[in-house]
Amino acid sequence: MKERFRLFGRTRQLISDIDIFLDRLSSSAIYFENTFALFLREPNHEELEAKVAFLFDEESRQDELRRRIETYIFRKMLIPDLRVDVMRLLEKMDKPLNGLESLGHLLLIERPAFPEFLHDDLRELCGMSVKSIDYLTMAVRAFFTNINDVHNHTQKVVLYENMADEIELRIRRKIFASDMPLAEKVYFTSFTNRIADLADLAENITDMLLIFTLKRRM
Amino acid sequence: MPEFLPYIFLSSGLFLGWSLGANDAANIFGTAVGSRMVTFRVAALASCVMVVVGAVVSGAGASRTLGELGSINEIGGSFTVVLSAALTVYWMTKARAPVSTSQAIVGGIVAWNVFVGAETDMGLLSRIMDTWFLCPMISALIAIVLYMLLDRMLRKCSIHLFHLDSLTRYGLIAAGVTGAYALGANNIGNVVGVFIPGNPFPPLDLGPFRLSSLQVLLLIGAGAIGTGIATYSRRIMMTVGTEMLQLSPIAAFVAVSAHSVSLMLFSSTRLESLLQSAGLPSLPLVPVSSSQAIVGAILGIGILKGGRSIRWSVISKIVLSWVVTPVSAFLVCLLLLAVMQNLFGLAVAR
Repeated sequence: MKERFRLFGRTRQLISDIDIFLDRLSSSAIYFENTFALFLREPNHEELEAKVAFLFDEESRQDELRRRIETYIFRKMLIPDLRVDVMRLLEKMDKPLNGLESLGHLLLIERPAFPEFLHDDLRELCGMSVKSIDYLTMAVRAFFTNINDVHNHTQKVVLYENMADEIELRIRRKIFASDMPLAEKVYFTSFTNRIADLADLAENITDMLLIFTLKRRM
Repeated sequence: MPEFLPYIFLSSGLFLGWSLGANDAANIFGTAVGSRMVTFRVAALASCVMVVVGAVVSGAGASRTLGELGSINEIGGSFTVVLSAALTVYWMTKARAPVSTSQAIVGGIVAWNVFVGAETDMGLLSRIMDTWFLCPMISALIAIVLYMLLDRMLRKCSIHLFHLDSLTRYGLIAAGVTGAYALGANNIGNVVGVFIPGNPFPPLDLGPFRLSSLQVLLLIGAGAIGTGIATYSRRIMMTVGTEMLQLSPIAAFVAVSAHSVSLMLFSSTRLESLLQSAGLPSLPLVPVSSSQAIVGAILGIGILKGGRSIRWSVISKIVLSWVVTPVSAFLVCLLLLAVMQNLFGLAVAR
């Protein structure tokens, strides 16, 4: 064990940082799902501000961690053949948390008054987007640890993204079948899009990850 | 003959040693340095030390074979043969053609035999020429087997990308060190092999160590190779690592390992006696080209991957250079021997 520790001493901290980076994205996504559910239940709940502030802090910490990881990889000249790919992957993996944090702020600023008949669908849509992000983190983790598993996880990302698309379509239909004013229809559709965009983003990163995985195979 | 003259004659060997170090170290550490997996300082230091160790400890086997091909009995002849090889290597390098020092020196020795009317041991010559085909083929075969084994192992074991990166670095250094040892052991024969019959050095007593006169000669030749590595190999390493070889670090490790193993096969006296004692055919102990070994290894990996990534124009240029090198060295040596003997009155044979 001591030999192993010494042999990989240089990269031990880096591996731990990448794990934290992925854990944080995964847990922030679940945290957002709970925050959104709380918002639908009680739009003026006193804890909402604190929850969004937490997401904001997580996003800042994530940016800092990503820069540290990238600097270390670059400074120590690690993985020269895959360095650019890994850097791009980490940059892209920063986007879902940005999206979650931005949605959190929109909830607080715009306080969208979603009609009751959309709540279940919205919760379900948010759940699908969060699941696709969760499987994306698993796929990225597999890219670093066991590339044979990448495909299993990316398939799930695609599956949940498709389900998110279906729910988004269903919500749109319900919105435009209702008698609410057109401005509200457009606004709710656009907000729904932003939640579904998280799953689209996860799918896009997945496509990139699959190419990087092919390159990683000797 | 003045006492210092043999040492002056030896300068052509040192020139050849220098150019060999400058060129062939690129075959060992080129991909590692070019891909920035190993720094040039580490590569140069490891190569220098291991070339000297390899030459002094195991250099005698391959060196004697060249001595057998042509017993150049006058140091003026040795000087001319090595100078013609060094000039051929230098010109080929200038022409950006891959260099095989072994072929150049063999071409020179045969030219000396022809010039002085000595008989060339055709059996030995054909054994040496066989290795020009055998070495890249064996190297390719070793690379294919090693690549398949490693690929299978990596698919089974889940090694973290960054752990794999560390392991590859250690692996490249280990393979490079082995390659440098093999280069010293095998190619020192090119540098000093023809000086062995007229070796001017007395044995050297270094307290706990006693070097025979042959080992002193090998040490000096290895020093020249080391100087070539330290002073001039960086640029060529970068060229080999970034322009010639489009390999991943792991494939580079496989190529360098296969190259090192095949060089070892052609210089290990122990392996030869082991094979002979087992009644198996042994490989001739001949200085083979490390360029041929690395090209063979890369070609092996390329073929294994389906052959699409192989740049056949580069390969044909390399193969052509393997034909041109001994022929040029032969012709240059004939010309130089005539000039040395008839114009400068230098004795090139007894």
